[in-house]
Amino acid sequence: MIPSASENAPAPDGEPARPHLLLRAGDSVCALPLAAVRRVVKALPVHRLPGAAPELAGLTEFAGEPLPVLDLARLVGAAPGAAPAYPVTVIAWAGGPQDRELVGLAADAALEVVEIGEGAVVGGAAGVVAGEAEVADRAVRVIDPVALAGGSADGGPTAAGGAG
Amino acid sequence: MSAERPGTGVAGSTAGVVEAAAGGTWVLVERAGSLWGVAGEAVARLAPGVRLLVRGGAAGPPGGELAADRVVAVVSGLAVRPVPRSLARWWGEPAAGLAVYGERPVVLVDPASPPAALRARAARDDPEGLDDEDDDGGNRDGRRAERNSGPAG
Repeated sequence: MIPSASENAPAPDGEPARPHLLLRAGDSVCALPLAAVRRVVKALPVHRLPGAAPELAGLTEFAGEPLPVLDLARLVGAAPGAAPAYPVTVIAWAGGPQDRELVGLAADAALEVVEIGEGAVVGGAAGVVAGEAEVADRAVRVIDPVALAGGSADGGPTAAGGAG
Repeated sequence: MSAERPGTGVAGSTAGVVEAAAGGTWVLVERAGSLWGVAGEAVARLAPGVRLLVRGGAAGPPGGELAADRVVAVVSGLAVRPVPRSLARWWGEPAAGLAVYGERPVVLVDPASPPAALRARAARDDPEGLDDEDDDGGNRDGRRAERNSGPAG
């Protein structure tokens, strides 16, 4: 889990770099800011809700609390990959600092922690993806924790936020 | 005994009913593989075939009928949690809150507007509660994808 320098996405001079947890989701690799990660556990059993969007894997229980679990591969539009050998549920903070809530992210594997510079994230934000960064010669989709709860990086709600 | 923790709230048009029941009795039923909770005071009668006749609450109809696969338990003192925004975003059904029973998540039902999976007619015609999805045809996923991309996209 200790990143090597070659695996980090370098930050332009003066730009801060922050640790991110790399997750395999289908045929993609995603990066979630480590500050948003509360825990990584073996895949929790989920109970699917009838009529839910594919992005919502279902509900589970964690530490005595109900927890929605989102399908990370669906969230980022990744194609299905090989059957995961060690699927995990990432317990993550979603939303902004004032209104955060816990959410589960179903991923195929937790890979490693790398440093990603803010300036290294390029491309337009879409949904929960803030952009892409290149880590060890592979494109990594950087997740915006605020958007996981329906907000956007600038603090405002997305079009889907507040539904229900 | 109220198990509701300070700072928690309940969304939904019959929040009063649910809040009153937070320390009271809940009827837990299983439907489509999930657990659902109905405030005991909203249940007027439990009919054969696992049909719950419910009072709709102040904002709802005078009565309604919910269908379930089986009654799991009648419990008191559920710790009621608000519906997370991340759940509401990807599940368009109304709910009054969430709870946990026996390490299983429970969706607390708003008796005035129960989810499609529990509505008696939908349950008979479509046990998975996917009537709306069928009606929408293939547009549903497209709309969701469009919504999910949001203005940030």
